[in-house]
Amino acid sequence: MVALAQAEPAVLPGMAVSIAHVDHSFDLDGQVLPVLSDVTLDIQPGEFVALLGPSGCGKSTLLRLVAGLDTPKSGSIEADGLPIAGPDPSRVVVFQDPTLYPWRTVHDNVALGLQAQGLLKSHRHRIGEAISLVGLDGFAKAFPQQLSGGMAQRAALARALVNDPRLLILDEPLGKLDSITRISMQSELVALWQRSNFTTLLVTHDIEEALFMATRLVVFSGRPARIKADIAIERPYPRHRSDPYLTGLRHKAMELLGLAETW
Amino acid sequence: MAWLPVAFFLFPSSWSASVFLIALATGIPVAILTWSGVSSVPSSYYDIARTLGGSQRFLVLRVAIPAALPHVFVGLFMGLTSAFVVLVVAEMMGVKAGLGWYLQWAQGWAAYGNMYAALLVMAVVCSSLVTLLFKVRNHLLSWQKGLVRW
Repeated sequence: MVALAQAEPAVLPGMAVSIAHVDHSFDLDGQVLPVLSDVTLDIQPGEFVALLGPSGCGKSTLLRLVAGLDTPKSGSIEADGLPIAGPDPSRVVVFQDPTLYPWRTVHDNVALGLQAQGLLKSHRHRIGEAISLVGLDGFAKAFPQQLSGGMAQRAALARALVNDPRLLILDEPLGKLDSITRISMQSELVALWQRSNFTTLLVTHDIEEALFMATRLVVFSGRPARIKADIAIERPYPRHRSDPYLTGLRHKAMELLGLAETW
Repeated sequence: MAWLPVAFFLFPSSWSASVFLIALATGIPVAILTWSGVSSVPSSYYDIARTLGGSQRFLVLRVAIPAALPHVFVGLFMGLTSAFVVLVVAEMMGVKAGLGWYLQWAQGWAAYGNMYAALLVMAVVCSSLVTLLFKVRNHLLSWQKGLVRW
């Protein structure tokens, strides 16, 4: 809530997402592989929700459903009370891989969303703003292959933010970065989220990352994923990794993931 | 090459037969490599464009085509060289015009000076066409600089 108090006056509030009794499965050569089982989750506007679960449990599938890239086998997903029919630039995804187009410069990659929506002429100034927001000033003319992993992920973040998303979907965005870059980008992401007022949905398998960044932690079981626990993280920002409150929650999350004996 | 006799039999003039042979020789590598280029575009490229509001048309023009272009150029290079080979062979075998035919004819008259001159012209034409294609490629795929060298 501190975050919302600090935020600049906003044009559009964050998006409310309502996931109700969602089941999903994949068909693999005639075999049905269930991935999500009766997932129900209500996300309030402006929340920062972290989804935590064992690798391959179906968290990313849930994100694809929320993004509108796939449709659930049963159950409903609503954004601001309206069912999600397909992808929409108000719900933008940042994937684990930056997936920048190698034939476009950083500037042109960031411009992608505006170009796709035909807003390039009227919103051109936003491209430079987004690039400096993620700290890539001076790299607008660089090609993706000239960037380091962290810089490429920053560019991917700028490409998402330029569209003024109301829901930012982060699918392990820091998963492939070195730990130093990851730690500094965690703080930057939180600062970005505090400054604007989009809702954030983060998939991660880093417990500490989830506790450091989110206002709410949702723990999933192994495949098929069902919600095991929904924990509010009532701590103001900036947070400290050594905070005993967070350490306590970390212990609890590890218990939920069946890793208590390593504590 | 195997199509030569069939083509000369099926087509009314040796001109149209050689057009057919060249189309065959260039069309196949270009088509196959364009196809493989388009199908090798990672699906995540499309996911990105879709979440950012890209239409079907946008996905084709702004994602599939630029992503497949490096493969298309490989096909074009293969097509260009095989077009040359087929043309010259066709001229040597049936077509009554062109450098390949002239080469054969000059050789028949033991006019070796003329023969080597024809050979030289052929080499110059072929290499300048390849150079031209390289120029076009370097212009369109300038982003590949430092990424791929061939």
